[in-house]
Amino acid sequence: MTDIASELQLETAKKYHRRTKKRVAMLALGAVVLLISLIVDVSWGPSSLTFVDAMKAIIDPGSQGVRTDVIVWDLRLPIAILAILVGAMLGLAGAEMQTILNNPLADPFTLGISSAAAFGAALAIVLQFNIVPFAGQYLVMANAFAMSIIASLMLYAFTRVRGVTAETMVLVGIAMMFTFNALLAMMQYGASENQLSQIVFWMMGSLSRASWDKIAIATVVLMIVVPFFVSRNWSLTALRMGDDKAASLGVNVKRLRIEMLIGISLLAATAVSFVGTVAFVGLVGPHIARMIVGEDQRYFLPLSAFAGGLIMSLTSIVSKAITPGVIYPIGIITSLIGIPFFLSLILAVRRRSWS
Amino acid sequence: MTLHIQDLNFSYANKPVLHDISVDGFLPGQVTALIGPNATGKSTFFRCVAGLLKTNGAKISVNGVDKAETKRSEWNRNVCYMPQLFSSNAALTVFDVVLLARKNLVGKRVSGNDVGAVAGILEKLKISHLSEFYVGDLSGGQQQIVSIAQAIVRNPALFLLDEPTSALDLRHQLEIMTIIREETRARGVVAIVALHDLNLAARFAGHVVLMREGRILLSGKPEDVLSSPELAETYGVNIDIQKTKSGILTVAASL
Repeated sequence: MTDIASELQLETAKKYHRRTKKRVAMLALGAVVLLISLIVDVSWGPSSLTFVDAMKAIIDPGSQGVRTDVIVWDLRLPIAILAILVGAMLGLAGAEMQTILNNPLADPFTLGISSAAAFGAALAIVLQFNIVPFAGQYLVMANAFAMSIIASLMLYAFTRVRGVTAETMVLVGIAMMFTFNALLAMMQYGASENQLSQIVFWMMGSLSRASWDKIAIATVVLMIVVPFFVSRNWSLTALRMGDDKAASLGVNVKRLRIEMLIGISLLAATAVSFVGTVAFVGLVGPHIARMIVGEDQRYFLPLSAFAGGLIMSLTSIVSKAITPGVIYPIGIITSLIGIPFFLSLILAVRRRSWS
Repeated sequence: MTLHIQDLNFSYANKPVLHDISVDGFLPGQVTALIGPNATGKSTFFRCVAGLLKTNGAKISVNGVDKAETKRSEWNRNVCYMPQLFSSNAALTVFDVVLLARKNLVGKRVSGNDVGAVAGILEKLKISHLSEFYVGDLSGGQQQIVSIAQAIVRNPALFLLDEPTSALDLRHQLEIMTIIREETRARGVVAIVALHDLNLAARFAGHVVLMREGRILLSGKPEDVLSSPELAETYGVNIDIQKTKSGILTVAASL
């Protein structure tokens, strides 16, 4: 290494610094857009509440009367915040699933986690069978969560026996997805009409089950998992260079995969048990992030979370905007708004990011 | 810089690949060429020394630091193994991946020194113009040069380079081998380079190690090893070795 930097060296460094600034700016922009979306979500709804009234009720509770407070604090804010948190969880889970499996099609659902959750929910709805004792009113949610964790443990056990490669994990995951889908179908076949509609509605996903408790739980899960992911930033980026290359840099590839699988399962299981099976957020969120900042985890990870959060937040807005007075299930909307957005990005961004 | 290897054995599921490899005299400051036919255990040897494969009972140490007593991530800070093939479709730029190697998985902050070091290596290897390209968009040869940039930027005590020139054209082969030789000399480190091209071995190595069926058969000066009957027998060819007018050792093989 020469001490005196050459022209070319300075130029190269300058280009890198410029791109770093751009990436930081994109993160900031993402945060701002997310905040705007949150504000719109809170101020939009079937009741005749103006934007200003809603903001006043947030800043100074009590000033707008009890009715406004209830609408804003008990209905709209929990939904709007939970939408972002759940979207962020799904975005993160999808981003890391794609990273550890080296597969652009992977998301928490490809590995059967959502099918397992749906089966768990169906068990509760049809058989009143509780995996977690004393779940009480949270029976369906607790079952969905427990079953997703069980699915992850099974995936883990299989990969331990067969070797922790990306291929094994994908194959076993797909096998589990079909297994749980079959079990779910069996539940639906034996269900009464009422139970059947409950299962279907659960699977379509809904934010109306939002509450401050759930927001607290989601925050705690994120506070545990995100620092853990961040501490493995470089290793995860290295993994995208291939197993061998990562290992030659000192990454314990097998252990990293398993550690990440645990974190991903926790995020996905929490998200799915709160709002039902919401497709595409975990798949599309990371792709959007990848197209904008690339796969250096220092930027990819936060932007995947922002993108996931934004998709869910927009979903929440659209779900109540289509027909005034009706809130459509979010599972329907995510795909409807996420996909055109995603396709337009593919067309707009020339640079290939995964081929 | 010293490298000691003692009693290195390795098997893939009961199929022995390496037998009792014990070597000492790796000379720092010069390139050691590791030669031998396909499937003779060269890559396995590298992967064992680098810690990618578990070795029981082997005693391997670099600068007196025992591998068995060192954490993987720390071991790989000193021992840099460059796998033979590397291909990635990642949305990571050349600068990103060389920086990644430089950070060696530690330290959250990227300092001006890091950025300068990466920019310097890219210039030295003449790939500055590629710095903002995605690695997935590069040709195989360009990826190989990036891989070498990753190895050098880490500043290790031991280089283990597996066929670093296999995807390169003639000019780049010479350029890259020259850089590897210069870096090895300037840093006084041990560099073991697996090579199929015996002419490159003859030209750039100060020391040649011949492997056959998981054993080290011969080790010595290039002219001695390359002209030995063992080499001809190992490869199953006739070898004709000559010095050109400009003093370069050339190896011609015939069936």
